[in-house]
Amino acid sequence: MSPAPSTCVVLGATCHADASATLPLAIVIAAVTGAELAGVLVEEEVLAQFASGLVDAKGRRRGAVSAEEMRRAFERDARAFERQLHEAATARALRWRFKHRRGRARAALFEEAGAAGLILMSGEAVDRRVSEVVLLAGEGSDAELVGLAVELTRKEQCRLRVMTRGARRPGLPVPAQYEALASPDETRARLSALPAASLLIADLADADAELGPFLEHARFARLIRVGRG
Amino acid sequence: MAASETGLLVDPEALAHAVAAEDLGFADTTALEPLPGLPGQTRALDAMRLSAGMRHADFNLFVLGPAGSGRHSAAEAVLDEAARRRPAPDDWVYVNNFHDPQKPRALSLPAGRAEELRHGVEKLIDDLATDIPAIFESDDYQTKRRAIEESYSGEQDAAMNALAERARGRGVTILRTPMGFGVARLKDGEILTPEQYRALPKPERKATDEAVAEIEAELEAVLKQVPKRMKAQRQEVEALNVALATEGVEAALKELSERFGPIAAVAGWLEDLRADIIENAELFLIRADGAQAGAFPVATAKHYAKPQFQRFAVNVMVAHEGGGEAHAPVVAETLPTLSNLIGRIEFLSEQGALVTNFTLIRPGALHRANGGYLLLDARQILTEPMAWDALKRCLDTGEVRIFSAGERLSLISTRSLEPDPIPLSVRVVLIGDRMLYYLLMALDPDFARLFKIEADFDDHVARSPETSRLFARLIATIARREETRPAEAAAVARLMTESARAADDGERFSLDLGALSDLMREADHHAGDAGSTTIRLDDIDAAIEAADRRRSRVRDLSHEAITRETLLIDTDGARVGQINALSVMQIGSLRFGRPARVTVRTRMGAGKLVDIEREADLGGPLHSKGVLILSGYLAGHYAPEAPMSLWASIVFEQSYGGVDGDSASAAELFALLSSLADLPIDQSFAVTGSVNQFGDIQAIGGVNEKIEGFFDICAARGLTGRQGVLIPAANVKHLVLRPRVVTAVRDGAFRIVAIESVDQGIAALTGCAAGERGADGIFAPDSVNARVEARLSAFAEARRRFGDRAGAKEARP
Repeated sequence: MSPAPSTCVVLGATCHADASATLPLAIVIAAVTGAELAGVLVEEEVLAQFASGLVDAKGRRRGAVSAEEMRRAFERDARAFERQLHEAATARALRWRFKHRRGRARAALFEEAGAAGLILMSGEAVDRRVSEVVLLAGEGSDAELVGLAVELTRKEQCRLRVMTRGARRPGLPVPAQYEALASPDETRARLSALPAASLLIADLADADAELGPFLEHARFARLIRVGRG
Repeated sequence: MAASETGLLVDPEALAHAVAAEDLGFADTTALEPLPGLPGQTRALDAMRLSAGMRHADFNLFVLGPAGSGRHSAAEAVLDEAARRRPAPDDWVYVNNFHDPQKPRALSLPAGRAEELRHGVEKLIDDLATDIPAIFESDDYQTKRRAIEESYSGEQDAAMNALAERARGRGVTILRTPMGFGVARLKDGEILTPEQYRALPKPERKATDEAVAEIEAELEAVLKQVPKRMKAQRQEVEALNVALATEGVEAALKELSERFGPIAAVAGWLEDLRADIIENAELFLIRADGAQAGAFPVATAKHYAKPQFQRFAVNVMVAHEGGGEAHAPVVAETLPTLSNLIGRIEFLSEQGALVTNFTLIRPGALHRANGGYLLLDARQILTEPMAWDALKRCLDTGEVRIFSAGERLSLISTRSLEPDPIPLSVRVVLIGDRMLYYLLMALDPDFARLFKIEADFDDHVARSPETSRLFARLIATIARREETRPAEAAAVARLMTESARAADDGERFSLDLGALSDLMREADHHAGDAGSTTIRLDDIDAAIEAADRRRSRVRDLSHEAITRETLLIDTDGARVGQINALSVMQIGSLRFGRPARVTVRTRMGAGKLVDIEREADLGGPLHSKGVLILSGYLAGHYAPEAPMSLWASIVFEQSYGGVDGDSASAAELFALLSSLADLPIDQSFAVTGSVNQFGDIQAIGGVNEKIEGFFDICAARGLTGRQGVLIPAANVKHLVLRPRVVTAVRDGAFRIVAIESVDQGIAALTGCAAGERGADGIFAPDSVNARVEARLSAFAEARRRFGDRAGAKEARP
């Protein structure tokens, strides 16, 4: 039985730069699925430990950053994220909401998505478009994710790679590069090599248990389903 | 006395110098050919043709003459004719100066091609607005661009992914935060909280600290490569963009370049345009209005009108029609403000700031008239701030440079433009009155140099059979132009007579065509009211009377003051030392004559004539001059061997507003002689005329109004048949009197007497012969002159005796 269509797409990010880079993708996904778009800026509770060392995008080490400075930076990013989300969603007539949450990112996003939601975890902000859509297909890959993979491939005019862990290959209406995965290690190795401009689409229910923490800190954008409706 | 001694009664036929309808030889003006030019203005027309035809600069023209003389229409006609013989001048456009946008470039093109260039560029922009997005959306471009991006991002991804793997291997992970990248410790795939970290055994803590430091150092090294890679990637993508844009732009521009290639300046600008479009190709990728394209498909939308394409626009300043029929322009600027003359730079308000660009440059009359003729009203341009100065500057420098008054006076500090000046070759024609012309000649040192030709319009034309025929045709032309009914011959004759009256001369026609046209149109209105299909004599008379009545309030008040004897004027009886002089009042368009009582008292004195008007500062210099001439006449004419021992006072009674002119000097002399001769003057007469030291009566102005002014008073009191006016014989030719006066004279109820000398006048006024000196040098006994001389001699003798007595008194011890 096919799962019910997703009612919510949660765009999660830990900074505005990442959110901004992934927002166009989130808009497309929300438009395709007809789901509400929820923006969540997660302020990791562990980030105080960076007080002695941060490196900016150009490789320059910053001076000491206090917890207070970090908090204010999160608030600035939250405001910017919300404003940008509002403008983009309004322009496409999408329902939207926004939250600035503190805590562990994974838990916060899972909670926002609920059982019928998709989570789009923002990738590292890169100055280029999606270079490839990677569909991690398990035995029970749902049709919605497969359909999204096809649609996004079309819209982004990029290639589609399908990584499968079973013998069954989903039949797709677009050309795709199929790769069979023999083991969880191989899966992780393949995913570790993905460029930051990739989009991974996966159903965590199909994934190995350790893949969740790995994906949490990946550099590329990840569209994942966390539960079955 | 013979008529030659008392002046000549003027024949009634000579009083009006009326044009006879039967002499005209047509029934109404439909039988007459229109008159192409203006009668009597050949001097002015020749001057205008000379200026219009000359190629050399500075031979600009000043058309001077009274309003209503047809100056404007004649100038327009001459210039139109001259313009048709000249080729159409170049078109001018302003375009963006891509190297310095503050200095827009002026380009000239052959007549008729400015609009072609504008449309060509608009089409080019429209084409590129479709072509360039298509180029950048093509699979070919996308593939090439993606290849470039991936070639650079691949290295970065490999380095970052390898670092991430090493970090995971060392039990740490790289996190992204609002303030940059950080390295966090992991345990079982989860980030350690500070508490968990502190709970770690010391060696383990040390190991993770070392791992964090190591990964941080490597992260720094990897990220430092990012800007270099990004820069190289951007450059390669830009090179790809330029290559593809160049291909597209050159294909689109090819046709335009071929069409305008022979025009060097335009070809040069098109080359700049090509380079700028390629450099700014991203402007064609802006899709702000894509969603609101509306009913028109994108392909037919006016892309060139979008703000981002304004920099490529062609601002047509002057466009002429091309082809064989095209000719030089004639521009009449009726409101020659500074900006209407030299053009202006407009501003737009954007978020509270004033901004401008080359598309907001607007042409002035000088731009439009360049290569042709510009007609301006002299008074208008002289009263518009800075306009006259700007016009002279343009004529001096031979170019039109746009500036604003605010900028010149430093009233605005907004950054403006400095457009290229446009070379100027124009013939300026100023139209104004004579006073302005002579003031400019006297006070403006540049004027004579810049306006070398004057076209002086005559006020009148001599009356002759030829000019009478032309004048009749002129009336017919006005009737056609003003679309009035045709005028019957009698009406035309009346109009011509009225024109002679307006000229103050029975032997001339006034060339005040404005007044003539006004009269015809008013008569046409009366004709319409009467249901007539033509303008008749009665309609002209009705219009004249109605106009006269409309403005007669002040005259009526003045006359009423006399008829009610508030102002004392006798029109019968006789009195010594008192005479009716005549003056003319002009208030607005009203001009009327009015009698004034002049009185003289005399006695023995030291030879002084006291002009009371002058003593009271009510007399003008010409009046004073007239009175002084009387002294000369007396001194030369009477008792030349005796010292002048007269004291006389002369005054305009009940005059409170000042007197000027010498037209009353004859009357003053007659009153003086009356007083000296002790002979009363017939108060049935009024007198006008000036006198010289030899006793000749000289012509004066306003003779018609003066006669009518006295006539109306007499008529109001009842004409006696004795009443009349003495006028200088030299003024008889100026008589164009109203029919009421002519009729009264014809009926013997009123007299007009032309006199040539003082003797004729005093004889007519006193009824006593003036008297001439005989061979013995003595005036005829009992003549006026003899009485005057006797009186003056008596004064001299009395004065001598008075002097003797005074001397004896002084000599007595």
